[in-house]
Amino acid sequence: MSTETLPAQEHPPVAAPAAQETAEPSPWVLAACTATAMLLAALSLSSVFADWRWFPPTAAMIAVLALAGALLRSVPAMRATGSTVLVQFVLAGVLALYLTVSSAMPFGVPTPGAVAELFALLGAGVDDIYSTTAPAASTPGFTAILVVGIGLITILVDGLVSDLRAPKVSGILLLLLWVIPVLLAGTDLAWYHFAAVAGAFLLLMLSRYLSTSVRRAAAYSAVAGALALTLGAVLPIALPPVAQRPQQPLGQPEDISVVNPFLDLRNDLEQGDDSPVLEYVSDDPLAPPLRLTSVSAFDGRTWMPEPFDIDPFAVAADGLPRPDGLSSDTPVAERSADVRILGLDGQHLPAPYAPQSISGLERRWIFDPETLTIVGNGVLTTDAQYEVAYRSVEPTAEQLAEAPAVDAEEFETELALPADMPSVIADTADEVTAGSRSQWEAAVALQDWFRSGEFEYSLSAPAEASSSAIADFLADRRGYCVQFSGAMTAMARSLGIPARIGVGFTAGRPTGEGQYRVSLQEAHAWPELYFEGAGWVRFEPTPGGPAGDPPPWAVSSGTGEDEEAEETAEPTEEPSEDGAEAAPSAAPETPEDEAGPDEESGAEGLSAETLRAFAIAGLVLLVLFVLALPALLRLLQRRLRLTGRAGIGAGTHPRGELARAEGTWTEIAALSRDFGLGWDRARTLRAHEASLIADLDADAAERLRRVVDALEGARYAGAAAVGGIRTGAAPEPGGMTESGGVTEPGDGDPHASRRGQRTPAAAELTGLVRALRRDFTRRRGSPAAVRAALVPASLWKRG
Amino acid sequence: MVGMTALGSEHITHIQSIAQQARTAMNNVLDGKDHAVRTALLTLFSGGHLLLEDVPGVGKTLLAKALGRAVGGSVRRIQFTPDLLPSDVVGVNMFNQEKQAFEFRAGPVFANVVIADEINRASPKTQSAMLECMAENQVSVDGTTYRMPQPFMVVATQNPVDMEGTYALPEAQRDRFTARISIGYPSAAAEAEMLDHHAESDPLASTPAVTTLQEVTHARDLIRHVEATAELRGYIVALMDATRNDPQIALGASPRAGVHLLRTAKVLAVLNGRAYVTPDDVQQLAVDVLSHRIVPREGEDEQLAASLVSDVLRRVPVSGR
Repeated sequence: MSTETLPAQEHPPVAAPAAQETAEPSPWVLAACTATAMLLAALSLSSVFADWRWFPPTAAMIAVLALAGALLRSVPAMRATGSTVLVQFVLAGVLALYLTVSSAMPFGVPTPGAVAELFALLGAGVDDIYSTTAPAASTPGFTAILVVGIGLITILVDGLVSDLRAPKVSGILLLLLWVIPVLLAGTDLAWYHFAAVAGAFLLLMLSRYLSTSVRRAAAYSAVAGALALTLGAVLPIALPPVAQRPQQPLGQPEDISVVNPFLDLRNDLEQGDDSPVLEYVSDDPLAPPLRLTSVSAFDGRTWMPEPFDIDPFAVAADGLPRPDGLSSDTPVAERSADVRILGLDGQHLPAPYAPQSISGLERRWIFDPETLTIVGNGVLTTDAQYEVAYRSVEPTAEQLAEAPAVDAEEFETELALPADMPSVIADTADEVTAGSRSQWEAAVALQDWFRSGEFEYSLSAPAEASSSAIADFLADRRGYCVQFSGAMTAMARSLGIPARIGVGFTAGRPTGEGQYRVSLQEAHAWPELYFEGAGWVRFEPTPGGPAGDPPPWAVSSGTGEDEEAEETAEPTEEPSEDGAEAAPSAAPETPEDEAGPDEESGAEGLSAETLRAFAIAGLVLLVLFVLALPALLRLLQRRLRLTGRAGIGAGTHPRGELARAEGTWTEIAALSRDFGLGWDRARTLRAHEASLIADLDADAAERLRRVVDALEGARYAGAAAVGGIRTGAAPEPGGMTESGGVTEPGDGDPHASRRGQRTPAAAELTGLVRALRRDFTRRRGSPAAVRAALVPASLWKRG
Repeated sequence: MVGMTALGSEHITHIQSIAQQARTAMNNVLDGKDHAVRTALLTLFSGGHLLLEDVPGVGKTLLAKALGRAVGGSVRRIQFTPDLLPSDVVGVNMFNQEKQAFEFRAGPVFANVVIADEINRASPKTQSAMLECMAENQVSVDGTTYRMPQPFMVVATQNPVDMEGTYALPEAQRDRFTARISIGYPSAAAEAEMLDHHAESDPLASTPAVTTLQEVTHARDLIRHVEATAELRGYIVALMDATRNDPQIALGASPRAGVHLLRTAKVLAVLNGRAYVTPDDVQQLAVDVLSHRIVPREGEDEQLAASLVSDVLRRVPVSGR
């Protein structure tokens, strides 16, 4: 630090405590800064909204307020009184009416009705907040809230920057704005959102220095930038919602799946409502069911979808990953279905298994990579129209029969059975499948057993698939798809076959060439069993109701009485030959197709990794920031003290020169304590001076004497200072002071001949403190110096 | 004459020079006893009295006499003995046959510097008569009040060794002395020189009067106007308070102790060339001014009392800031 930067400005020191602040920038510059900063900050909100309709009125509000502020502040009287802010408030109120409810003001004149309208709009906006998830459409309500809220913040920031000259405080307001996207759409935030807010903060910090020294501006921008970036990077991690949200089970946040479609089945079926739920066109001869989701978590009472991490970047429109466990030599048919939802308001998107991509839907439809369930992130299926490209997995019975055993650890949930499950279920499973040579045979045996005629399809069974209900069902042998699928899934699990229940609709009724219509009566559930190589394949144990016949691979090869069945209007099964035929045509495609989704998921993995990297970097920054916090506080404290601003507000410190001296003394004491040298408060100023001055160079020693002098004068001279005798002078060697004892040596008084000298300027004081720090470092060693900088004891220890 | 509220630098320089000359003169008489000389001068200028506690023959009387000589004042010595009566000290009304009236015959206490030698040997009654003079600066005999000459300073001595048959001054009376010091044995060199010089000539004879009584009185008046800010006074109060709350001290310093401390500190400030008192002044004087007034729990012991006062100095923060 050079010692010559400040004195020139400092010279009339007592008169202007803010003398260090240089010439006031023009109000226009400040207003431009405020407006730009607010626009940048507002941009960070874009992550919350799906569209930009909110932006123009908000920007208009910011621009008009800043313009008005600059205009008014260029009038000296307005500037002096600070009444600009009041005018801005009134202006903001009127402007908000025009921007949001202009239709309620037919003559362009604000009326009480328009005000009421605005309040109603604000209320609607609050409702919207509760009822939508980010990214949301910017409803008029949201827009009104933004226009009013950002308008108010703009006024405050403008006032802070232009009137109160406290741009640092306005950072808190920006932070307030920043919290909104972080809380509401933490996972949608991208780096440019950080950058926008950080830039806004930076700009505000710089606003006062735009027309002054480049050097200082650079220093400020460095500090401000570091702070802003740290905060920006850290906040999303530090604040709980973002961290917790992905861990929340699918059911919890708002609407994503309060619905367990499995539990609604009974209702759907019993309603007997055959008004269409959806229509679709498909060329798939197998006519697979349209799956909503699959449920696999079974706690003995209910079957629940297994919670999955909601990853807003797993956008279904970008393609879904290859289904779990599907090997390349398994026959696969690429199919597609054009679906039109007619009467379904759900979170789950009906799609045949295994969906590979969705087109025609917005990007808020996301998927669970495990189950390939597609859910709306805040959107419903209402009136959706889309095309599903799916991979119809069509394994051969032989292949399934030869499938190796699965690794049980990978299918914890899909093999889990409640500990208290009645033993009759497992016993029956063993009994029925006795003699099976493979898991596939066992599965087919189970399915065939259910379909053998011993079971009766009946909606009168209890609407449950709890373990006791399954046991009852095995005794009563009456039930519907819930019981059949539940029982078969539980029994398959007891045999070591990973199993889950697919929930959705059966293929529905054909209405024309490849056209189908599905009503609620077609609601259905079926077991899905996992075979190595084929992945999840469905079985069909339900012998009646909407359920059709088992799929071809679920029919034991000996019992192929339906093998030759044509593709009927109500297609149920595919002849195994067809499956085999389909396989060669599909197989070559497979490797290429694999590349597609895999690449996609690779890209997604990358972005997730980037996010993680962001998170880690943020965490590191947070840790660094926390570690550096004491040092930063001390730096700030030192600066305030050396410039004589430390005590403002406390009311104990005088202003100006003296405040600088007092501040310096406090700082020296703090520094001494930081270094573990202590600070004996029972020692007098001169006693301290004597011990401090020993190793100082002449310059620093002189500054220290002047500081002590100023303080002694202020504390003890009282009226005598006016009389002019401030300095001690012992005219003869030895004087009347005494050697030794607790006070200074008596040989001459170095304070002599210093009458009328000023307290050193802030820069000189900085030099003095630095010299002392060097001296302390010499005395205590470098480790102590590092400790003093990073863990300054004076921050928490007094005296 | 200068306005009474202003203490100009010229006054300070003047007082400094008087004090310095007196000090030099006295140092010529008492070799190597600068501390005692300095304390004696400080006490004189503060308008107080001095208690010398020392073994015989170290120069207690010499110090007092040198002081009196240096300021050009009268010096009287009273040897206190058990049979000394108050009237022997302050004087009596005697019937004058010629004038057919009682007239006051001033006792030895009417002098500028009074040496109360071995004051602990006198009866309490006589001691208190002496102390009344010190406190009131006046004597009342048969209803008539006689003022002491100004400046008036008592230098009392006590022999701490030979205490048999003595009446040691109680705390209340010790409190009236501004400072207590011991002169102590001279250093070997000083003692050798003393033998050399004093054997052949009376050192006092060559001591010049460096100033006048008027100047000393005037200086005392001026010194009263040395600035002591609220902060400084607060520090003194804190010191007093600390002696009273010290668990090792049975009896702390009296309010008068604070007054005496401030008065001497003012003198020291001026002698250091300042028109205001700083805590440095207070700290330098505290041991001399306070230690004879406090009573340590462990029993009366000069050394212990002095170290307790030093502890207090080390403990009490100088500034609230």
